[in-house]
Amino acid sequence: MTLPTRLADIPVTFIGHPFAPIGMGEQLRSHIAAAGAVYLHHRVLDIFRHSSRDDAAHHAVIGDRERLDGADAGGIRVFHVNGDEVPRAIAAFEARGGRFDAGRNVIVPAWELPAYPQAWVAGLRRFEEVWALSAFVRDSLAAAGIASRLVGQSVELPPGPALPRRWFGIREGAFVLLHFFDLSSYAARKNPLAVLDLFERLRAAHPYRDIQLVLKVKDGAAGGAAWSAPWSRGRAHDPQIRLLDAPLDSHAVRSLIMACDCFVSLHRAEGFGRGLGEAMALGRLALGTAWSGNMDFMTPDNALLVDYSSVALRPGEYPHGDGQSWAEPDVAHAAALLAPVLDDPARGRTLARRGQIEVLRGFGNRAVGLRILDLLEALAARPQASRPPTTRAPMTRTPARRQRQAAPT
Amino acid sequence: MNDDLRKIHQLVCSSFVDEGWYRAAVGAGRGDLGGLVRYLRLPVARRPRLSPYFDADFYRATQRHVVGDADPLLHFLAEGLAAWRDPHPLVDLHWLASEAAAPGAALSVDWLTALLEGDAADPSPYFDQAFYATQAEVPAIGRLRHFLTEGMDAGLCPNPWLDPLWYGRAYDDVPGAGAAGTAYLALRDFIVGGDAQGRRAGPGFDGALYRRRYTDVADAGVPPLRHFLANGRAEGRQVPADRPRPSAIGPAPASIAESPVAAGPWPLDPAAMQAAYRDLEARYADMRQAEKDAVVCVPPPMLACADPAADMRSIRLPRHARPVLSILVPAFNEADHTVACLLAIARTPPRVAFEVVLADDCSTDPVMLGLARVANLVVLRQAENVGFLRNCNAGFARCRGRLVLLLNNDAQPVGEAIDALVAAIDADPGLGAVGPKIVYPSGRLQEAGCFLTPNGESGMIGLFGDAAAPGFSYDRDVAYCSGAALLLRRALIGPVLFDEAYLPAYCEDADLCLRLQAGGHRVRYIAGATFAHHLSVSTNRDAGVRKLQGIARNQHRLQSRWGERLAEMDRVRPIAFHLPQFHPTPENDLWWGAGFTEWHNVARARPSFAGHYQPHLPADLGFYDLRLPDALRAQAALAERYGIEGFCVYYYGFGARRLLSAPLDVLHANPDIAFRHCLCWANENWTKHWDGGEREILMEQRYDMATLAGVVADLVRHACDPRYIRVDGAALVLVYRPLQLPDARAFADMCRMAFDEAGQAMHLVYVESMEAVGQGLSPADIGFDAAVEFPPHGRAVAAGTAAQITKPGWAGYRYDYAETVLAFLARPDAAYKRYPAAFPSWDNTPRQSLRGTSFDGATPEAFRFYVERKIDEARRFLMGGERLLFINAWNEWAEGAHLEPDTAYGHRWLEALRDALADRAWA
Repeated sequence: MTLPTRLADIPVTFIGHPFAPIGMGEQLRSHIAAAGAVYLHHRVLDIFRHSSRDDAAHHAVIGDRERLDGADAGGIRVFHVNGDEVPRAIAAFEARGGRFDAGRNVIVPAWELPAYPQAWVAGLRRFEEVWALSAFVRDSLAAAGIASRLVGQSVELPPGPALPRRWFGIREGAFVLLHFFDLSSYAARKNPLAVLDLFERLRAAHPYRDIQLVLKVKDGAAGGAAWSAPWSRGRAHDPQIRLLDAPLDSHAVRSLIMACDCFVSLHRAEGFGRGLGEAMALGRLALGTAWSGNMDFMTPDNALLVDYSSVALRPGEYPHGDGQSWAEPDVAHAAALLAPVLDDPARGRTLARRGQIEVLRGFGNRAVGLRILDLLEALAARPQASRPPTTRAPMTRTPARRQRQAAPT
Repeated sequence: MNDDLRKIHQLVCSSFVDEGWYRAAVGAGRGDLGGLVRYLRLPVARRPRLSPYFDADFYRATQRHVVGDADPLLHFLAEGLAAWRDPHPLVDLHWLASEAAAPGAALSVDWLTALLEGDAADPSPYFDQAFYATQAEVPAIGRLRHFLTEGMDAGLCPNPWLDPLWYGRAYDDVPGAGAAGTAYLALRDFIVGGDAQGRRAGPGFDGALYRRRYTDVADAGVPPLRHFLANGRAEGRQVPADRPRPSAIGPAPASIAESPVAAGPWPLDPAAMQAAYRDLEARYADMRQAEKDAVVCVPPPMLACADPAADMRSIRLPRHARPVLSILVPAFNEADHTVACLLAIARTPPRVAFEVVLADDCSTDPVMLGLARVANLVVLRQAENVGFLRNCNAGFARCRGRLVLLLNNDAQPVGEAIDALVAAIDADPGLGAVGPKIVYPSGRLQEAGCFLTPNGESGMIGLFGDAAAPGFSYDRDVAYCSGAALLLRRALIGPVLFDEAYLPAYCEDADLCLRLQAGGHRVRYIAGATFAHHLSVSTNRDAGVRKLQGIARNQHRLQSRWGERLAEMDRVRPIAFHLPQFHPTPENDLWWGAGFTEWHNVARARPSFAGHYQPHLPADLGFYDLRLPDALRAQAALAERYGIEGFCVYYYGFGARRLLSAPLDVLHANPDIAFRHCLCWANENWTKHWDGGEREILMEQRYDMATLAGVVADLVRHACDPRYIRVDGAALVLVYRPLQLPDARAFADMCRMAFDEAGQAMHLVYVESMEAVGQGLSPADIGFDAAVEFPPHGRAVAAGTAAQITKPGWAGYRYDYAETVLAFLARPDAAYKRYPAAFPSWDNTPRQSLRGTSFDGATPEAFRFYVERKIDEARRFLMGGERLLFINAWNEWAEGAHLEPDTAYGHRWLEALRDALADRAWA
């Protein structure tokens, strides 16, 4: 039996967490939107169906592409799952009626440190291809002996009206620095304390300048309050710091980014740096550590890049981090970069305008969609090499599978 | 049959007489003269009704002096109609004729019957067909008949305010007193007399109250409900009610309704906000689709070729040793189109020496081979199929003319279109290429030039629109014209026409035009040249997808190559109207009291009705004084922050005397304030009424030579400021009321001469304000360069809901913001260069406490929607430095039109503007 080699004849399914308000969900949705922008017909499978599905923007991206079972999902599958999820994801896929070996499988894993964890390499090897979300991830995979193809992710967000600053209780006249971090993960990587440090330096230099720091913290009210306790003592009514710890939907997050003047990320490492990219795509100024995934789209001509020194991770600072290093951003340099922008905001807007065009050129829906298309066309044209043909199941349904499909899930 | 009977028979046989009613009344058809004789033998008063639209009693009562004892119906048919005598209280001939144009001066029975039976127009202001259809299941056609024969006795109403049965019960002297079956008597009584007496038409309309509120209506003697239905509601006048009615504009925020001072923020529901925006989008899309559906297409004269093998024998082409023009026709098969194209050229040959180069991409159709035998046709046949782009390039290398017309084989020039293109490019050495108006064979517009967005996508201007619409009737520079029909200067192109990076095709023509523009040459759309083009349509879904993916790839390529230029070409330049009246002046002290400024009116405004947002009080910038340099500095910084390029400052020149000139003087004295600006001469009288009118004039605008010379000198002096706003190097000067100028052209000439002497160029623009709106006044006709919209002047749509009026004695006007925005967007495109404009909100209650005009329902989201559509308009009709977008206004606080932050909305208008600009910065 000969298999089709033209992409148009091969079903393509994106698999993962399409409704999850987390990074893996965002990268998947960005690929769905990107594939849609280049007219690639594809379907979407929610592998675990854990998410609550209450974000209208997610539905707008996914539309009617969702398939509810994996039974006929032959062809090419692009799994947006992490290395540690692979066994569970494959099991869930098969439990939903899919046969993992009956198609060609691609994985798009996320990772944030210079070397991909050896513990997950075996999982990745079950896939015919690995796609890297950034050059940094590609190098990280290579360091673990995994070859990958660079695909990136789209940071283009849908247009439409945004919530105003007033909605978030942000000072309208202020120059607003916005920082996102996540207490449900390892906060040391996003490095929010460095952002606080930066802000205090700016404030010390100009005590009555109208600047405001907005911190959006994920992980519930309690976590945010506990985290902020050490530094917020005695400044409960600080008009220049606003902590937002309620969960926000996609529209509100986009609005919040629109509401800032500068998106700040003094991260120690980023797999891609989606927040920075989205801010740039929305025409906002971005300031970030000049290291890791965000360097795919940030340059000194389109954003503010902060110097750093490379430091070894301390034990327990990050999973699988032993023996690895990451960046320690130079907060003084960050303050020095911002000072002229605060003195003359037009400079920041000039950078931001260029940044918007450049990030969308490389990481808009169309650009990423064309890369996905290229990768898929190349994969389709290439014979399936790694597995003996006998394990390749026919593309038609067997009666047994039909039976399974009929059973309640 | 005698002559009289014959005449009567003719009358009775008219379409106005109802066949069924006649048969029922007379017992015979109209062909039976015996029946007619029986009818005529009856006494006039006892003759039965023969038409639902004729009320003999009404006619006799209103036309007593002419009818006498004659049969009213026969009189109406014989003479009354021609003399515009109404047959029925609900059939108002003058109204009908104004709603549906009467054919010629004389009214005809058939015209009238067709209108009444076909619902072609409301027959009277009292009968609102659209409303009537909402009340019950009524037939799709014949609503007036339904009302008169069934509806009114079933309790249906002819309009939202007139309830005949209610009226009958409310007044003892109304015939029937509201009993069953007497609706008509009550209706007639109201229309004939009750309305003029100011009686109540129903629970919702009290004529006496309406007259008390709007004294001008009482003075005019127009019956109140008639006035409201015919004029008042469109003017935004409010129906007064003596008891509170639920407000349909939503509950007012407590802080606004109860407190004299507004406080923010307004309650905001994210889901409702997005839904309202999507709703506007959907309505706008429907509106644009309806416009396209309504286009009446006139197919252009085209040659069709049923037998290309035979037809090609009649192609006669001249021989020119040194052609000026090479017409390059790429072709692959499609012999019928190809031969038709060549024939069209040959039948109307260009006047310049020309050659036709046919680049045949290895056609398989044997008929195509025959073209090699056409005398003087240069045929280049590819040895193998190389695709459109390479085929064009090969053909281009064979072209000898200094001009090359790229012409798709499925396109044809209409008439002397090629000559028009050649004349246009020869007349302007700055042009590198020109393109025609391209229409479908159906006559529908295909493109009037094309625009490009920063992401490399393109749009065909006017696609599927009306090829004859005024917006496409004048020449203008464009980003590119499609290669289907494009005239180029060969010397500017170099050896290779299309870049092979764009293989197999798409975007190569845009790239070519961008190459020309990068070299300093312009591309122009020529409205006077029309080509017809069959745009290829792919029906194969797979091929369709592959084509779309190919286009996406080439758009990406185009953007990667030209991104900087595309962004620069697409840059929109927002300019906000700026009022300087925020400082005391000796004149205002004298006229209005010591210390008067605009703030005086602004702060004292109070809400007129529930939900009415007043007063607007300044937030961030406070009650500033524009004599202070720091106030101007703060305005400039705020504007810059939100992407506004500068201000259009009103300038009041009365010759030697200027009013409100202090801020401009401060700017002049402080060159460090980054306040970019241009001037708008507000040439109108200053009056006690703030209306620029003729009553109680405080300072008269004169136009004597001394005044004009003073004004022009001021304009030149300010235009020399490096901060002055320019359009492609020319200083931007606006005139607020061009038609007030006794000789606008002479003024324009005078200005140009003065600017010229100062070594400056001027770009003179008139404002579509007051009398200038809706005139379609071509700027060129008065020596101007362009016009600018001035919303909400000219297109306001009245609020459709009743207000709960809270201010005693209020008699103002209410309009609907969103509807007005849609009305402005529905406006036909101008036949000349017109800069778009948008207004955030508008409410002059501060100046007219009891006669204010307000636009309800203005929201930052609706404003954002409005601005985005206006940016799209600028993309279609303006290029480069001309992409101006005016905002009315930056700080018209006393007219409620301000982007400047107030306490209720804060920066939201500015945020909306900035977000709209950011949204259009890519796609």
